[in-house]
Amino acid sequence: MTMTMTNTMKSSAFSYNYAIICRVPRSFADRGVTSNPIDYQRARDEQAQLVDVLRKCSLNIIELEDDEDYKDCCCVEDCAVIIGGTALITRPGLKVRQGETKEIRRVLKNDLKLRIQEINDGSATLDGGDVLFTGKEIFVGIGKNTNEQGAQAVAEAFPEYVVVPLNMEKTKALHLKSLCSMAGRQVIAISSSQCGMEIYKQIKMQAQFSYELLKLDSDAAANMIYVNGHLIHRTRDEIPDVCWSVLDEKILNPRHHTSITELEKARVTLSSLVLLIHKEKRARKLVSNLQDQDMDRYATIKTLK
Amino acid sequence: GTWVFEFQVKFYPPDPMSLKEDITRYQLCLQVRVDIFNGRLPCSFATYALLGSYTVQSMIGDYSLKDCGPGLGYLNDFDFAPNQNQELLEKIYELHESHKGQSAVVAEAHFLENAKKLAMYGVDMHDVKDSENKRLSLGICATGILVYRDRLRIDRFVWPKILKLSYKRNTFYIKLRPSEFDPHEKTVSFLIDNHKLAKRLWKICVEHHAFFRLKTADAPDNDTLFPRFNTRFRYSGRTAVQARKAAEMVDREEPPVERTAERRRSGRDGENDYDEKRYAPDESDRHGWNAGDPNATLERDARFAGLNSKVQRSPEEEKKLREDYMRLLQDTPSITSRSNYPESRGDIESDPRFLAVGDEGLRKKWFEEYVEDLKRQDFMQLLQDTPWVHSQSSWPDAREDLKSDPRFLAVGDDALREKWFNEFKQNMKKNKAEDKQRKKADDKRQKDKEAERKRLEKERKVGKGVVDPEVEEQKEKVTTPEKEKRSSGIFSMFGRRSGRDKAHEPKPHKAYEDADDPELKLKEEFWQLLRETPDITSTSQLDDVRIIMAKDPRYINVPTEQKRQQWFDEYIQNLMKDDFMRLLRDTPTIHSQSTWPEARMEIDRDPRFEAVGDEKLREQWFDEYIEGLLKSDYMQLLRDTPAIDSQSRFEEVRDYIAHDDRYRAVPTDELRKAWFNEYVENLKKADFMKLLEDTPSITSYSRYPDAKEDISHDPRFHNVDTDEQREKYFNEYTTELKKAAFIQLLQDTPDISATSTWHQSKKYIETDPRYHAVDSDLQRMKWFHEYVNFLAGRGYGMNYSLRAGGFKSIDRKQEFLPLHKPEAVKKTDPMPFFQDAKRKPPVASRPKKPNGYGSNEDLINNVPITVATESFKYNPDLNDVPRSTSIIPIVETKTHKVTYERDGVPYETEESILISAHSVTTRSQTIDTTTYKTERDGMVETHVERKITVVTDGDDDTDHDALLRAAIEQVTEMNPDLTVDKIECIRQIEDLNER
Repeated sequence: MTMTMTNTMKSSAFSYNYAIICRVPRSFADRGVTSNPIDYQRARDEQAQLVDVLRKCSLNIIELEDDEDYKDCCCVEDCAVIIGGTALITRPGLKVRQGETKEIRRVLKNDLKLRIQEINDGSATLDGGDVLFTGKEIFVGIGKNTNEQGAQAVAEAFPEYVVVPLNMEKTKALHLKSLCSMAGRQVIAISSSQCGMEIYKQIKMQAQFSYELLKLDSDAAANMIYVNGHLIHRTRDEIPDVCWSVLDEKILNPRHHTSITELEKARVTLSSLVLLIHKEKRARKLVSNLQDQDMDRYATIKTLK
Repeated sequence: GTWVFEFQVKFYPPDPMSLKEDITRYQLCLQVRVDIFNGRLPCSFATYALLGSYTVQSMIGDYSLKDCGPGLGYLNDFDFAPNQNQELLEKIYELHESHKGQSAVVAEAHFLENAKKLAMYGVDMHDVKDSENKRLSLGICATGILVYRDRLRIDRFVWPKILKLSYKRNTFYIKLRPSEFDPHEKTVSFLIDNHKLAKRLWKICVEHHAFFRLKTADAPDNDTLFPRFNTRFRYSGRTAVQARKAAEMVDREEPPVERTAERRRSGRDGENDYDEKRYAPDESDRHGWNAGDPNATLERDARFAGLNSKVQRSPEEEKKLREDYMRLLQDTPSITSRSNYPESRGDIESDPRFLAVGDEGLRKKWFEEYVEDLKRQDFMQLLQDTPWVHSQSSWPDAREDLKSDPRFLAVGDDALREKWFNEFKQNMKKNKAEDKQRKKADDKRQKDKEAERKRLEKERKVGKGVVDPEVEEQKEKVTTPEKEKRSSGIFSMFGRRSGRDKAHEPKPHKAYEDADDPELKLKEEFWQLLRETPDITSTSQLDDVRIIMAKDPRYINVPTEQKRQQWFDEYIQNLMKDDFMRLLRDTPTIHSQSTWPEARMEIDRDPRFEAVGDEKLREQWFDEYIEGLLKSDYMQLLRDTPAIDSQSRFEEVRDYIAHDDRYRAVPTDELRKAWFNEYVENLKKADFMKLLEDTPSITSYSRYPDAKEDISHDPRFHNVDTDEQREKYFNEYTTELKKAAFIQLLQDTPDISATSTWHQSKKYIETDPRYHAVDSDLQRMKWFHEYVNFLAGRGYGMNYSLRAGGFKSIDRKQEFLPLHKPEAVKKTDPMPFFQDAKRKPPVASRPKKPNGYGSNEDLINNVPITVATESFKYNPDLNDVPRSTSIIPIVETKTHKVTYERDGVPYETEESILISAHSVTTRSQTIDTTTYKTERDGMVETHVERKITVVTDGDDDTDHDALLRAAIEQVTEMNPDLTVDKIECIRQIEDLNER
């Protein structure tokens, strides 16, 4: 009870009250390769576990039926970018995925009554997984699935925020969020893999506001969900021991862990399974974690570890 | 006159709550609201609503049904967002309700707390290009310089990272400190459109750096050992640190914040406001002893009146004020004979001429006088328009027949009507000829009346009963559309209707007369819609294009289908004529001696020929064309004959030109003379226009009778034969000025684009004085359409080509060019027959640019050398692109007298020629480089002087030697020919106690 109270009180970033997930379709099994086949049932179970964890973080879950036409439909994160009451419907880089946004748009518009923004530029592509909202500014990874026009569309939809493009061309990662994610109010977790360091360097140079950068040894560990003060990450078996101890040491917030080994075979990440929404009838404040020290001091970017 | 100062924020505080006083925060709020409204601070819908709701809370307080009235009407007067709509107002209303209990100060704090987090808050944007000529923007803000590509922030340089800022010609350089990922110093450069803008950008950077980064600003250097040129620039105000300290030191009572209600406050509010003041409780009557005592009220009122007109004015001053005020009323088209003061007050209350009249009572009185005068003029016009009113008419008789006219009804008092009627009769007596005519008309009318009466009586006797006048009226109505239909066929209209229109034209034009006939406006809007509809050609039928336009309000607003058809036909007719004329022009075998049968053979297979179905019409237009050709040839002949000037008479100069073919080509002598006179008239007119242009006191507000005095001494004035002509030219001239100002206003309004419609755009500009300067709404609308059509690359008016039938459409932009540069086109236009002889009035050089469709660059480059003394009105609608306020005209001089000061005695050297002067400022160093040429005994010497000033704070333990060494190295390393001349060490110790 107290928890929900505090959530409605502060309309800052990372406090959410709804989460959309989409069930794993049977066709998801086709994503596997013969050497490493995907067990559909196990994937479903992993997702169900994640839903349980999300419920523990005081989120209302909206569970969408799977759509067999779209093998990747469980990766709802890519379909929309949502900040405050505004939702930008994306245009995924993979053509075959572009139809996924239809259902998401319907839910956001009709059920959650968000203000829908569309991408007007026909040449733009944008995956939600390439957009990292830090609570202060927005980083957009320009790479396989998102182009610069897509980043412009983000800037157009959310003119309140500084939008900084990050170049992902040198990395092999599918999405920006496969390499980094928020792990706390001021904390950005970044993988210290070669690809991750590329991003680390750019964030350090380009970020306009202050953060703490948390270096983690694996890409899998760097992808987390930070919601309502809780941090959701992978289980001990899935990430290197070093990472685990770093998390033990640096993260003071309550933590949850859940496994997605089966889903991961199709390069699915933890954060990509959830679309988080903060729905408030009368927002009295701009959604922002900017603090006074961000405003008149030069960005100080500390590296943890 | 009145000085109007504009408040603008230069350095936006990153933390508005650190401002000490509420009034400062309020002012910052105003600035941020302006920024939001003109699009410099873009937000999403939710944020516009949020900020808007705080604005409303601070301006009008808690929402209450009683004060705000039902619905969203109370929000209409606010400007919240660039494209605000009903949905936004609804959201604002919803949020406003939830802010209950917040005081203005609190609401403003909330407003700023949110606004300061916006990405573009306090970012001063400048267009630049990178080395590959791609468009970028630089944003200067408190922490440094941000680089944007479109909306993406692609790079940033914080002040600590910047070593040096400089500019050279149109390039701006930023030298960067080595960093973790970039171990070498590097310099990035940006191209700016021109030198002036580069300098401006550099200055703004230097100022922001000094204000936000430094503890104290560099003291301006008084030392004149070296010649100094205009590039020395230092921020000389207080820095943020100093400002904060100073604010702490200030010990004053916080001034009360007067939150002025919205500019567009409705008249109703204004009145209440006034009444409230007027009947404010009497200070000396706290106990209410005097309540109900009429004397007490009188006394109070007298005191109030005294307060309002504290300044005793001389009769002359008052007369002047009154004139200005009356002119304001005239200039405000919304004021008509039916206006009343409280309603119209809102339209004029922000005008300086209104404010200048301090006394509310006087304002009201004069207003009423003015309106009465309007009514009188209307009434007189009514009598004038009634052909049977003459010097012997009786009032009761005339009254019966006039009483249904609105101009009659507008005059509330019958005694007044009779008085004016008698006045009119008196005037009539003087004009005997007209009076006679009128008497005849009256006799006829009386006879008709009598006949009618007899007919009615007869009918009654027969037993038909009295014909109900209403039924008769209905009959009338039923028949009208049929009549119109018959006459609205494409061809009949031209011959007959235009004749009828002409009969209406020569009505005397009066400046105050409201040309705002709503029907004309609808027509203009409908035509604009047609212009905007790309598929309409001279062969279009209304039914074919109806679907495209059916949803457009401008289509729907046309009251009847007949009207639509009629206007459409008129439009098509014009298109057709235009196409036909162009066909004639495009056919090289047609010349001034061609006959119609000859010409017809040349063109009869052209679709533009076929489009005109009526042979008579074709021939008529052909004749018109040929006459145009003859006339333009003839006019050219006159121009080519140097003996002809504005004093020439036809008989005198005939011999000079009679031998010329162009003279003989004109069929009749009458025509020759008429055209000659027209030509001479135009010469005189041109001279007169020049005179007006040369008279700086004539502005778009001027009226002929007033301006007459200023120009009547000039021979060019007397050159024009009649005063009517002078007045006409004068009006043409001021209209030109008004148009230029109006177009400028449109240009200054970023919300107006090629796709804007009049109704959308009106609201952005209707508070601007340049808007009200234009006489009528119709005129404004026309110019507006002209402007947007220009933007859209459409022709205005009839410059459409026939696009059907595989004809290459004519570049419509080019067609429009005459408006841009009338003179240039005149020479090349092969068929300048419409307007040719009438020379375009010389375009005035004031304001900024006549007819001004100039580019931004033109605007900047054409800033006059003198400092403008116009007073600018604060207007949030105006887009604050750099040019509006801060471009101070700079006189560029290439030759300088260099003054040295040696041993305290200044003396002059020979003339030296400055080649370049250039200054670079960093945190601790200023480098001035001056290059100039001196000629001495035939030898040309080039001097390069570089002066490096190292300034250090006393507090710091700076290594002066190291700085000095670096400075010397810097000089010599660049150019071994330079030697160090002098090293000077100045220590400035400030005695703090003395301050």
